[in-house]
Amino acid sequence: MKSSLFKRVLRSKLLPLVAVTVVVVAFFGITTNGFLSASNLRSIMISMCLSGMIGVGMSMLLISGEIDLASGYEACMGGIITALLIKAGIPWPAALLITIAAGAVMGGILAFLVNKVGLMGFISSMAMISVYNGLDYIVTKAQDVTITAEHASFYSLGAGTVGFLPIPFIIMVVLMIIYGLILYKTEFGRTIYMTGGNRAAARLAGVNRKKITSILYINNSAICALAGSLVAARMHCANAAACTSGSIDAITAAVLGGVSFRGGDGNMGCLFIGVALVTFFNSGLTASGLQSYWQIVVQGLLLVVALCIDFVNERSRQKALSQVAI
Amino acid sequence: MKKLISILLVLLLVVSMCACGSGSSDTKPDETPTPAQEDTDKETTPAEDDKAEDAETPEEPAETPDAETPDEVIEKVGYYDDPVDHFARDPYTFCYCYTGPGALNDNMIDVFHRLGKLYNFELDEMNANNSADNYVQGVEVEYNKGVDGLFIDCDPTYQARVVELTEELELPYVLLFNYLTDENGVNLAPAVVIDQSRSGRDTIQWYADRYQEYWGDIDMKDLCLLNLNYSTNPAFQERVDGSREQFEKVFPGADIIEVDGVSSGSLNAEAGYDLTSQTISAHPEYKYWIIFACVEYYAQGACRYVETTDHPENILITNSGSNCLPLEFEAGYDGTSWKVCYAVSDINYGGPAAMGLIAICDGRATEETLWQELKADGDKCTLYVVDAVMVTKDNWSNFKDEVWALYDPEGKTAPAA
Amino acid sequence: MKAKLRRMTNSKLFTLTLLLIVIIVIFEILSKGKLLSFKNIRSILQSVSVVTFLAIGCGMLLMSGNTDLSLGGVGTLGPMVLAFCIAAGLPWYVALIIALISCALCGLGNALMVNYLNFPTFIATIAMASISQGIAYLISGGKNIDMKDPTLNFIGTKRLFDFIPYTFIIAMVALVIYAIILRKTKFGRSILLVGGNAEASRLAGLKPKKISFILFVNASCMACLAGSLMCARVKTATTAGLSGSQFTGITAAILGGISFGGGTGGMMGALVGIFILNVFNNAMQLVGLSSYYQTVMSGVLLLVALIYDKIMENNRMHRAITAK
Repeated sequence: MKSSLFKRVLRSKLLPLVAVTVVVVAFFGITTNGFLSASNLRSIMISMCLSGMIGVGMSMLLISGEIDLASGYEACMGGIITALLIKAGIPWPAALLITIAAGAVMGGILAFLVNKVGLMGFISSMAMISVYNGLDYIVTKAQDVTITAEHASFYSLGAGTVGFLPIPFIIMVVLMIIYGLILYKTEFGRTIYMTGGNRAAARLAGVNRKKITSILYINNSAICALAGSLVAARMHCANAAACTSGSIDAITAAVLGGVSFRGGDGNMGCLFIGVALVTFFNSGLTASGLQSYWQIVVQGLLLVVALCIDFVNERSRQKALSQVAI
Repeated sequence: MKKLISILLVLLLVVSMCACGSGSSDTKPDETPTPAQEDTDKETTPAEDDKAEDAETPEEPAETPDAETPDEVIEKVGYYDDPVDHFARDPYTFCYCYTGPGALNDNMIDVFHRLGKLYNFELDEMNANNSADNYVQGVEVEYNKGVDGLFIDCDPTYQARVVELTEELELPYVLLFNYLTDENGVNLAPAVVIDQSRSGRDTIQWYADRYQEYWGDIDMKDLCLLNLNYSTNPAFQERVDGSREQFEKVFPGADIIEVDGVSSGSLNAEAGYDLTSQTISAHPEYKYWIIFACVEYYAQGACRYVETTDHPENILITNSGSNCLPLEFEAGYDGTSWKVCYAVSDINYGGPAAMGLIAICDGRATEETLWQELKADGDKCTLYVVDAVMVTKDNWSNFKDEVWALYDPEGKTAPAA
Repeated sequence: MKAKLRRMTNSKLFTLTLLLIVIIVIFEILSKGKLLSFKNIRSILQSVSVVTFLAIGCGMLLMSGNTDLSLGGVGTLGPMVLAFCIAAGLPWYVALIIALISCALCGLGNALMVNYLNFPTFIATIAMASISQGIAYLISGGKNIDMKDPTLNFIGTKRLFDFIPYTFIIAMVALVIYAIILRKTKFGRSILLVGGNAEASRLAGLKPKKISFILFVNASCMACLAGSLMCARVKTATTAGLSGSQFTGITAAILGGISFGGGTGGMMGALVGIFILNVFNNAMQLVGLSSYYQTVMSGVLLLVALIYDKIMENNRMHRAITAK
């Protein structure tokens, strides 16, 4: 018995989270003046960009069963490299390309550690956090690396808008669409799911796990470096304190949205919903003026509530499925 | 076995390279002998003008010193012009202990290196990476190394224990940036500080004196103060309190909104951007804003957001801390919104701290007698409150020069332009 | 005899200890003898205590296949509750029990979310980290609370024979107890079984959910003790507390050979791992390495230790396969 499209949508994994997001937006829209104003929505979209972009590469890694905790620091390094190159006189498009290449190198280091040497991604990326953090401070001497005003065209990459949408947001969405299609439509995407879902089966099926995860590590770090450059463009400078919470925020958003931490499950839609929910919620909390210590507690409670709703939905879905099977 | 040896060799190689990299600080004693002769001449001449010059120095603290009674001449000890030959002794080794990485701390290290060349001491540094345990541990390790004295730049929440430990180890010390008092407000340790509350008050006052130039006469109902706070840090909280108090006095009838960055957990520009954008967007009813940021990174983020609004000239930004705004001006920022910051020139802090610590190590003063002519009644030790400068587009490039001229009149240690 | 010696030298523990000795020797020379001075060994022992508790908590959880990222927040809440109760006039042991209970509740929350609500562990523990950190701030109003109890301050700062810190003694006692539990008791062995394959162990009659509950609560209590010791050392419960330290515990455990779902290491391996990291950090400071280089080098050291360990392990496996 084929359930109607409507029923299928109702039972999809994403629906509860979309519903929670809508409720959150409606709640803050009603209770807070100006929450749904154009300028606030633009600010929220910009806030989404760092964790969203890092999340794109991170989701690919998570689905394949790997992780890179140093992503935020790679973004920070990317921003610093771009700022230094621009300061040295290199035009910003070239600087961006070099930064992405540098990001690829950073990903290559991790790929080497995980696949050639055989260390766990979790611990080797934790070690790289210290390395990148220290290097960031050494290279910048703990000062800002400013991007001077003559590079105003670069500024617009971080803060400019096309119509209503901020440019970084457009870049983030484009990346999500591209990688979402790769995951959904291509064979490469399917092998990523297999690699994460069942390692033994993937190996027996002839999937070269090491090659895939190496590609994904390089891809993740390159995207993170680009994300860091966009933040530097927005802030007109790069320093060693930027973007550092990026990896935890990105993983939280992705896993909240439904990307499985163990691998094999999830897609870009999950990531987008997760990022949107967390960003709208945090923004609404700030605008509401709730005391900041309560904000921290409530931020944790949001995760709990969202996942509870997901749990209930999952249970009813399982029940419905088991009834159909009979 | 071969692999083991090769790995060990790599480790040894890398470590020795890094140790060599920091080893350059050990070679400082070789550099000092040449300026030594000129320095001794320098030291003796200002000594005669000792008292008169002190009265004119910009370092003169805001609090009125105890009046000198005719019977006892309190010897002024712990200043740049102490009548002492600093090169007649072996170089001291001081350690600058600080809580976590930051631009201010790096600037202080540079200042102390420069002062070390002028006044014959070497500088170690101890970075606690924002952990109280690491800080206490680091103080012990520095003691094990055999340092002569500490500049303690410590988070006020656990500073009491650090000072207690330093006294147990019998190490000379001077506090930087944060002072230590007991429950009754008695100052317990020599400290070179700014009046945090004043940093908030003076910056708001600066705008209060000038806002009509920018905006004309405005209705107070259209104006709002946005205080960007980070409440778990007592020093930042004091700045914000000062800002709020002054604003209430000079802009009666205007509203105040305070946001706390602790909910985001970060002390960087993006957090400042988000806090500012979310608050200003949520309150379209205010036409004019004055933003006070407890820390300059928040001001930077706020500035970037304000530039994307329709009328950035209607929002004024200020903060306490002067590492970022000069760099902004240098990079070509036109100063539309972020016009001024409460500067503490690094040498304004570092100079008195270094001279005070040298005096204690020399034995010319103790923690309790240091700068005793400035000690407030009832205090155990002196609180050396430093004057600050308001840094604007006009003076950002040279506001430190005047003070450096006192310590280094010939510019021997000035960095190459 | 020879075979026994060979087995010992092949073990992971031996590998790590060798690395530790090499580091000590190198830095003893570089620091001109200051590393092994009486005062410095004292400092190193003091620094080991807090991480040991975290490593115990994280390590046990790792063996059963889970991580707990809330330990930073819980380790901030515990000492805050402790200091609050002491400031309210309660004797220290009562305050400590209340603090342990509050942290145990956090651990229970984690276990509930992971086992009954099927939350991914990552999110569940991050949520708990936020909640416990927020509650810690609310209790203290964003300020620190001084730890005024003389007994706790004595334990936190004083040393036996002026050499061995009391915190170190407490940490070692805890370590030995847990090492014995892991190796010798049925419960300890069942942890590893659950970590290896939860479903199989359930069918075999073990109760993975009960074990998970015990381990989460245990990890939170360990974090409470770790935070309390740290705050006793600083004589104040700070608002930052142990924030950020949850990764230090995991690092030490993994370095010691514990990994997701089992691993070949144990508590002793974790201890050697902790010493490697702490001796190195101490040594870098002694030698005068600039602090940003220190950050880089601690990451490099971790990688070198892991790589070296991996190579040795490959050697071991190779020899085991080609033996006979």
